[in-house]
Amino acid sequence: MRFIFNFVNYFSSGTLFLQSFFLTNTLMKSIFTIIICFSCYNYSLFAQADTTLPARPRRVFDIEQSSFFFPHVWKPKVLKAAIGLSSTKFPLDYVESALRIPIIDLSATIGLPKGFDVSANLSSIYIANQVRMGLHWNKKGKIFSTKVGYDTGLIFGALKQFGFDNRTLALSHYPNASIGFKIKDIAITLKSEVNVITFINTTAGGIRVSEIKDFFNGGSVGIYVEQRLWANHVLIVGGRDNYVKYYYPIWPSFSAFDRNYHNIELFVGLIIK
Amino acid sequence: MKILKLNTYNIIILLPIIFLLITGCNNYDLPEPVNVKAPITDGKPLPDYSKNKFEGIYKVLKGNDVFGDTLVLKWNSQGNLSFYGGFNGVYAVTKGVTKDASIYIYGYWRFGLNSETGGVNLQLNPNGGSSAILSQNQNLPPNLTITGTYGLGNETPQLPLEIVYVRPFSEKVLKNEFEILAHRSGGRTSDLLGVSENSLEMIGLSENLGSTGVEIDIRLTRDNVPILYHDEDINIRLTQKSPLNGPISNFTYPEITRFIRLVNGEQIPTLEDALNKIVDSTSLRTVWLDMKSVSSAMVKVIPIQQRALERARRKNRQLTIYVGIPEVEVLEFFKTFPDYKNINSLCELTVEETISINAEVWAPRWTLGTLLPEVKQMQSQNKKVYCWTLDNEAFIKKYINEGNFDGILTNYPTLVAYYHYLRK
Repeated sequence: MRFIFNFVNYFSSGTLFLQSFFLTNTLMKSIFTIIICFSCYNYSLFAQADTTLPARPRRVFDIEQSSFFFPHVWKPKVLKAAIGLSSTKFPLDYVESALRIPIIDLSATIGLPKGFDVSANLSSIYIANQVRMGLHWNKKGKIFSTKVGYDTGLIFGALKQFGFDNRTLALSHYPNASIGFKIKDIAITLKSEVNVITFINTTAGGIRVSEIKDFFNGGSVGIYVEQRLWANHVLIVGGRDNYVKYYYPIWPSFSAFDRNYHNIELFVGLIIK
Repeated sequence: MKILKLNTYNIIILLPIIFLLITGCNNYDLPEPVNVKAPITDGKPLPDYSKNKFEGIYKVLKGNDVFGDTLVLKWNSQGNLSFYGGFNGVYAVTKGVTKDASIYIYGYWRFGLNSETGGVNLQLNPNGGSSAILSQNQNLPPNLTITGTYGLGNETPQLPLEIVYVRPFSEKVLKNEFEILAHRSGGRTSDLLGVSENSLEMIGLSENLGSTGVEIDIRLTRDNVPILYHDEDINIRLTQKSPLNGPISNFTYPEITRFIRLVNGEQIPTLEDALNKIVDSTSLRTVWLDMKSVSSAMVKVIPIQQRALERARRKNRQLTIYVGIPEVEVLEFFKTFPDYKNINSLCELTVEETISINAEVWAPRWTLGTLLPEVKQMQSQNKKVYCWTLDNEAFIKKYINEGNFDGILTNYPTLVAYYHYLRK
């Protein structure tokens, strides 16, 4: 690690142009260090360049063990992380113009004994964010594998521009179930979840309103296809229909409609670990 | 014939397509209009003194599932008795007639926040209090109780509804000219009211929903006719499918009237027609012209505003029409008008900018809070403050009880009316 940091220090000494544009020296070096460490570990970049190092034997690929959404019995303490981007087109009744917003999505899951796993997820569009944590139980079948679980999401956001002075905080619950099957090296997962919102707290210019709703907000159904992209790295492509009344990314619209809308998310992700 | 082979890759392509086909549309149907049937055929309208007698606050004894705990009953200039409740924004629009010393109230109820609806039939008999209401000299009997039935959808009303009179409107409510301003001329197309936003038909409905004023959106056609239309382009959110496409400002008014109908079949009205309708057929007190088009639209809009105000004066109508100033660009253009300080205007910008053009109304976005110091400052200079566009029920209640605005612009005037008339 120290060697790599020194290497970055040497390398970045000639990149004043970049530094002046983007980052402070120390922060830039740290980010370079992290990226290069990650690259060394995952992509064997330097092993490719240095022919004196022995080539790492390619692992036998197993989509089941390499997948993220696909229900499978996780090895205890195995951690997997994925990064993704969702694109959502909001219903016209909310926003009154064709508006599509990208949502950044970071997820991690760790295996537990006896088919259990714990997951954490952060979804963000800066003004609206959700942190989800959940516990799931996986069961492998002959043709189909299944997973059931329960996630809790903390929704938070703030908007203090464009004539807004608002904050929001909400608590959301997601009992969920997934079913998956494999075709060769491709895993297809159908995931459904129910959404219940138990608490919403909103402020406008310091005026606070808390609504303990305890209402059935709707549910979602999603399809995710996971396929090896290169080496042991898996690409996730999917779509999810959130058929809900309260859809957290659009909280600043303060919609009062008492009916469900389809909020379609198209998702592309990559398992990074 | 080659049959599609369901191999892995076909499945992968087909699944998302099926998924999008199943889930991709937010289609919902308009609720079927309630077929309102008068319980009697030859009832006479109630005299005005009778109407005023039983306006007020009522407690719901039966029918709480739909009407909640409390109802406000208020007559409007359309000759209808409206009910406003706090549960799901419930309201009812009814007629009141009399025959043989009994009073019959019939019409439909609806939730403001969704589209559930049904019929209402109420009756007051002479020994139940109708004699006192119909008499010029008698006071209301204590615990005046109105009983009847309500229905769900187009079912014959059979579920019991019973309300008991609690009190009249407070002095504060009767003295205060608080403005309940209905967005898009009364309500949004997306609220499935059966009439389209920014139409003459919606203007006709707006008072039944509790509004005392309306906000309308102004755009300019290619031949410089100011019309009522919200969005920049022609789209299926607002209009039926038509051969015209693109920005509405690309088309002349004759083209628009020929080829375009609003979602519920109405024509897009001109500003002049809309203001004439407001002056001639309603008792609305306030009109807010939201200038959606380029600033130059004002050149056409201000003369129409002045003509409508003159028409209202001739008819002895209390009416103010404000030109909305939503952006700095519009403000700068407005300042180029000679005598702009004497044109009725409403400014959505800062307090200072509002004062600088001598606007009569300052209109901040509701999301900034109740802004009590700023509201006080403006009111001390004889200016009114309306906040926009407040739809959340919890905030409506809070702003009416804790704020000091002179009016609220909302998509749910029934809810604002309910909390306003409840004020003690």
